[in-house]
Amino acid sequence: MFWHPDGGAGLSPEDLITCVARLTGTEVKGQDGIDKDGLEEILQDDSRPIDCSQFNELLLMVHKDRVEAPFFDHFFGPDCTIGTIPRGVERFQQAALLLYGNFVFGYRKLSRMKDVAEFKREVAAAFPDAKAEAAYFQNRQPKLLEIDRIKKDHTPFVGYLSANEVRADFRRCELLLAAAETVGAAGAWDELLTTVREMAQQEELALLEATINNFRAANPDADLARLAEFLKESFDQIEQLTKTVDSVRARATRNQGTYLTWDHMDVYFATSMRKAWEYKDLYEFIDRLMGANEIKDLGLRYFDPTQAYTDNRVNKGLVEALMLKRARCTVYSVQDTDTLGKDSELASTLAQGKPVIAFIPDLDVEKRTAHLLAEDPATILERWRFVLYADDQIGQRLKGDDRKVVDQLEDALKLFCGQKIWSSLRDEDAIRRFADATGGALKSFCRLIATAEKIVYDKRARTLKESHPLALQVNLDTGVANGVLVVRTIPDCAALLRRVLLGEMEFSLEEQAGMWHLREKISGCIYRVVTNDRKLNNCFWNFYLR
Amino acid sequence: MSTDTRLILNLPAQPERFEHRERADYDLERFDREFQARLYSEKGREILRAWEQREARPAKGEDR
Repeated sequence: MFWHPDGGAGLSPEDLITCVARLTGTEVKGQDGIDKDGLEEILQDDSRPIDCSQFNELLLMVHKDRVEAPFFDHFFGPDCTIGTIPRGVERFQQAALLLYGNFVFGYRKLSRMKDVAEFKREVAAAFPDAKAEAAYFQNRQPKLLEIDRIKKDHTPFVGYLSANEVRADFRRCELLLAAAETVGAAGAWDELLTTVREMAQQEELALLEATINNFRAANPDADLARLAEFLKESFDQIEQLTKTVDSVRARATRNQGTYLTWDHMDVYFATSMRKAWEYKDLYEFIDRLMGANEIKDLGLRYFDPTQAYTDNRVNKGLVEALMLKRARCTVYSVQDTDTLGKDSELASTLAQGKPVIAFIPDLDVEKRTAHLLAEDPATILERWRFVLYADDQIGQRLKGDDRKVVDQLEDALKLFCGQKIWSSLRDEDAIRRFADATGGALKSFCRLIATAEKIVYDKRARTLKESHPLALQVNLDTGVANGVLVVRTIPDCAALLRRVLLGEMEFSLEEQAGMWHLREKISGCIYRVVTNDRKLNNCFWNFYLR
Repeated sequence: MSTDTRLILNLPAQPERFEHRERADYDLERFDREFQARLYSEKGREILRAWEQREARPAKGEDR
């Protein structure tokens, strides 16, 4: 690089020609006709001051169009010298990348603007006033309606899976209770089975019989009176849970209305959730992120999907589309798998030219192991199934002892899940007994899962950061390429979110493999690009900037 | 069964449940109606009604 920030050797005519080519986005033609001796004399002193008119003389000496004063003042400034010309060019390139994704158009447009106010309005998006932006957030009036915050353990009821599980358990329990009481306490198990077979349709019979069998296996001496007593207790517990589900959904429905009426919406959280742990994980992530010191003072408003509900899928889609339109940026929580839902949300945000921050946790295997150990065995089994699906190398990594652990725990977990009587009720005693019986092997198994999860997340981060073509998408209005910003920790996510919202993002500019990249500094991700492929450039921009 | 076979087959612990199926809406009452229709035979609905009436008798005028 020929830039000498501390002064020194000066620029050569070739350095200036390179600088000007970068500034204008086009090569310098007719170099034979350039007075290189004259240029050499002018450029030899790094510290020589250069004003707008002298800069224009340099441009004309290399056959390029001159610039107006607002352009020169903004990018090169009153203290411009020969030595700082490359820095001014870089400032312009960053702005052109941010605003237009195109150096040629950026130079033509900005260099010809004579009116300072008009120029400032044009470049404002690339150089916002961070203090004014912070004041905007801090001085906003409080919202009239707050969200009625649903606690973490209840958020799965906002989703269909947990809510439907509760309702299905309730109905199965009701059927079994009606059957048990119809047969009577003095009846025999065979009579009960006959009644259940009469009452139920074939599709559901196996599960009902399994429920009775599981109860009998856990209570070998029990009779029908004891079963009826157990079913009544279960019925009351599940009925209570159905009321909780109804109440959570009513609150989440109101919350959705509240989100719709807020006059500001700053952040949208893109995610897809089905399983209970996905709701709880996202709740925890949002809670920690939005409570982080880096952004607490801004009083941000955000759409939290764990707090909102609508029973109609079309309305749900419309609400989410509106939130994506209104929010200034999207935080994409990268979970187990890509889904159409959250990938569409990511694409929609990028297509609007707004930033997307993708959060992929950088797992600490030991902490994650401890977290898994505290989960219900059914959840551990589901996590195991996930890593089997997502980590295609897991079979290669398992060595002798690991394989024994896998054999032992898979059987034990399947048995535990198969023996579970109600999927919506957590049986603490059974979970404790399971943990006691499996002991160290369970811990080793959870560590295998945690290790595989880490590998999966690291791979997803690498893919999104380095190789996925759709990690860069185009603003459909302007043609400007817009890259996903990948972060791995909550402090990084919070710091980047602050920079995004206040327009304080920092970048480095690099030319690599026929491309100009603007790389965001916290995430290390490419945020804007300009390709040097002449044919592609011409074809592409014919459809945008004409 | 070897670990490799287990890893390849990845056998589910249980058959798929109706409540775990992807749905076109999130309407719990609709799910409930559909699930009851799937759960009960004609005879089952009669037995349920009779049981509900017996249950309601001692607690007249009171919700369960």
